[in-house]
Amino acid sequence: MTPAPIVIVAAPFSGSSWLAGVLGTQHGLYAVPQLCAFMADRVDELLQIFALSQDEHGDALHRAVAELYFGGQQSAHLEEAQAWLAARGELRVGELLDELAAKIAPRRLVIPETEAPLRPIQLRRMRQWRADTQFIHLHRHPWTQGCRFAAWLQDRLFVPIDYRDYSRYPPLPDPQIPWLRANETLDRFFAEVPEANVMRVASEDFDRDFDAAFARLAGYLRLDGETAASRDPSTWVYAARGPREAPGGLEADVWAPWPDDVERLALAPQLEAPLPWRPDGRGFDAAVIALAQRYGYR
Amino acid sequence: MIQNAGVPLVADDFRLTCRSGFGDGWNHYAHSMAAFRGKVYVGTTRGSMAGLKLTNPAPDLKPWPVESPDDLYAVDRRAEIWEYTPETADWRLAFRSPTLTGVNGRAGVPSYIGYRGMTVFQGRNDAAPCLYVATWSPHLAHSPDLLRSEDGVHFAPVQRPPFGPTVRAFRTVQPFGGRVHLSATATGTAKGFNQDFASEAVIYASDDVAGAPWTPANAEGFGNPDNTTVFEMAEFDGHLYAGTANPITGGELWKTRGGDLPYRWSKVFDRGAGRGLHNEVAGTLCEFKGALYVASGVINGGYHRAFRIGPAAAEIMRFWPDDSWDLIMGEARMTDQGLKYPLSGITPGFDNLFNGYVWRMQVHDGWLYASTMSWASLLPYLPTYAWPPDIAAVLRRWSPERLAETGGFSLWRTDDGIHWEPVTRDGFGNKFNWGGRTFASTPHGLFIGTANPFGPRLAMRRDGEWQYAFNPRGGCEIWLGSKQHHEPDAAA
Repeated sequence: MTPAPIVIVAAPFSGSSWLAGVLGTQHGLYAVPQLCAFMADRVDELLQIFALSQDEHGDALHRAVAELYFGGQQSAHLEEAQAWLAARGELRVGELLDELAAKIAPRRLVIPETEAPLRPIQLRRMRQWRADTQFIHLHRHPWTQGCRFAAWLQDRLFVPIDYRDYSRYPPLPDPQIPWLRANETLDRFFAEVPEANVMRVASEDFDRDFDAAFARLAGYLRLDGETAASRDPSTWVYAARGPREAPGGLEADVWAPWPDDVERLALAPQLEAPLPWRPDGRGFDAAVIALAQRYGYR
Repeated sequence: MIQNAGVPLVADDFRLTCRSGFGDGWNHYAHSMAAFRGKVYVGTTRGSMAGLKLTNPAPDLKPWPVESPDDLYAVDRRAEIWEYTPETADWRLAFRSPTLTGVNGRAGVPSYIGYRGMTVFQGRNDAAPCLYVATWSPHLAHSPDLLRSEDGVHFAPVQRPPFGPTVRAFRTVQPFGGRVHLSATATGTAKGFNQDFASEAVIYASDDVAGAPWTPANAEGFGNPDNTTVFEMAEFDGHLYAGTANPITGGELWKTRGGDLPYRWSKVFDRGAGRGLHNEVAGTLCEFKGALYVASGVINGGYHRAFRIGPAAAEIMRFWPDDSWDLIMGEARMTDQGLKYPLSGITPGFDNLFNGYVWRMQVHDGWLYASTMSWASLLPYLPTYAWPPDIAAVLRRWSPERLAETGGFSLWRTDDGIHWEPVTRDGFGNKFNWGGRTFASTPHGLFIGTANPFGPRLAMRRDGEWQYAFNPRGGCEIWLGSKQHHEPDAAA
């Protein structure tokens, strides 16, 4: 049995890719980008979903396999990774992850996930894979998350149905929807997981006092003697966008630039004001406000 | 032969008990099903794809998917009721529609071309529970009847419901509060027919189908003239619930405690529960673990041609006794009850645009099963070249051929309403099974009857040319899902 994996689960744009990068620079850990591995039960089904997807869902898994088994993430490596994965089509996804975990052992596998928190069945698959997984539930103030996420979404040609408010026409991208959906879904999921296997962390804790927040996290993860960490994950092997064939795997909040005025707005969080991304002047839904307050936000 | 309690069924647990429309590809729909006196009964609807030519407006299909004459009455559409004996795994034709002289003098017109609903209940003057069957009559025949059978052998109409002359069919036969309730669901005139909309939106109730009159249980359309049809009914939490079709503002859901007729009704939702016209119909209702699950969508399989609604795939919501509700599968939106997002994480149609309906839901052994209707099998016949460029681009990416090849209905299951897993996404390997149309939960397992209108002769492209040829997998099928299939008793 390989060491217990670590899974960072979060709503989109809550900092999961960044935290994976930070942990990926730790000696005893090996962090991969967002694999989206729990979208299916079997590897062949997963590869089919990746092939049909309009998004970058499959890139991270190909990049990770290319890096681990073929020594890099360039075109030739990715081609080999594709064949390597196709040859494992009959495997269950859990078996594939076991193989990756064994490859990097004795280091612990760290997986960031913003896809699974939107879909309970994926969380169930995650739980069925390894009962000893240590979860990090990372969250961010819905205002900060929303300002950045909305700024990014408005330049996208393809916005997933998961992020839209269909009470308006055309359906309006609204970040509070995935924020509420992911965090409530995670809270329901964690009600069935032993408390010792879950740590809830606010991204803002790292902003305020990185060393203290990381020390608490290291204690939870039992990273004895390895708490000297940098908030800059640029040495992580997956820290940048991938090549043209597989650019994805990192959330855009770690690589996409946005205007200073967006960032200024994002860093002045509030719960009661009209949302800057909604043209109808509505504020946060009452359920968003209630959950944000429960997480300690004001 | 009791199943292991609570063990979910997977695709390999299902066996085909009959194929090709009981040997006749014109039996297009296994439209209704009921367990009765140790047997399972299935009512068929015949020639559905042939009849679709007469809808107004008709779908733009070229060539027409099945070979069928312009004279619809040239097709033998006498609807059938089949009986299954689990001990011997045998099917028997229990009843076939009689014929009559049509209103235009034509001989040989079937009384019934389909049986859209079956219910077992004991009326006031029934000595034991009886099998009641809702019928669909062609427009040259009389108004539709409610058939009654004491023994599964003899079927006869009880007093005819007081439908208007253009009503052609009804579906639900819903016992509640000592009465039985039904409502019209199809209209036919010389200008064509509509198999989903009626010319009236009234629920009729009777406490003695053998003799007492049918009495209206609600004001027409619940007072809203845009409610064209009372589409479906169910009992839940001591109330009778009724879902409407409404092509102007979206479907509605109403409920009543019953009492003296007409009942007092309260509205649970309107405007398609905030989705508007894409929830044109509150179409399928099923109680499961303390909530009422409601599947909704757009008629005509997800694209209402006459009103140009859709295409859109189906949603599932669940309602609690206090009228609060959860979106289970569908599109997130702001509503009167705040922000709703799909708790399952699944978008409409179980993440599939082609699943225009969730056609039926059924509880079996502690699991809720939901079956869809998929129109992907029609792709080879649709004018996709005329579709909007963005849709066409997605279609090209997914490949119409691939989509059509996997075009059968989906069957999903859940034990809590939130975690859903597919049992089949390709009509149990038959792309012509475009719908899981009817269920029966029995001690022998879960029966599923399919809608499969692609027989008996299908338009196929061979060597670049369309031609009609016999389709061995056309016509409805009946599948039985069980962890422990009974091998037929040779001595029986």
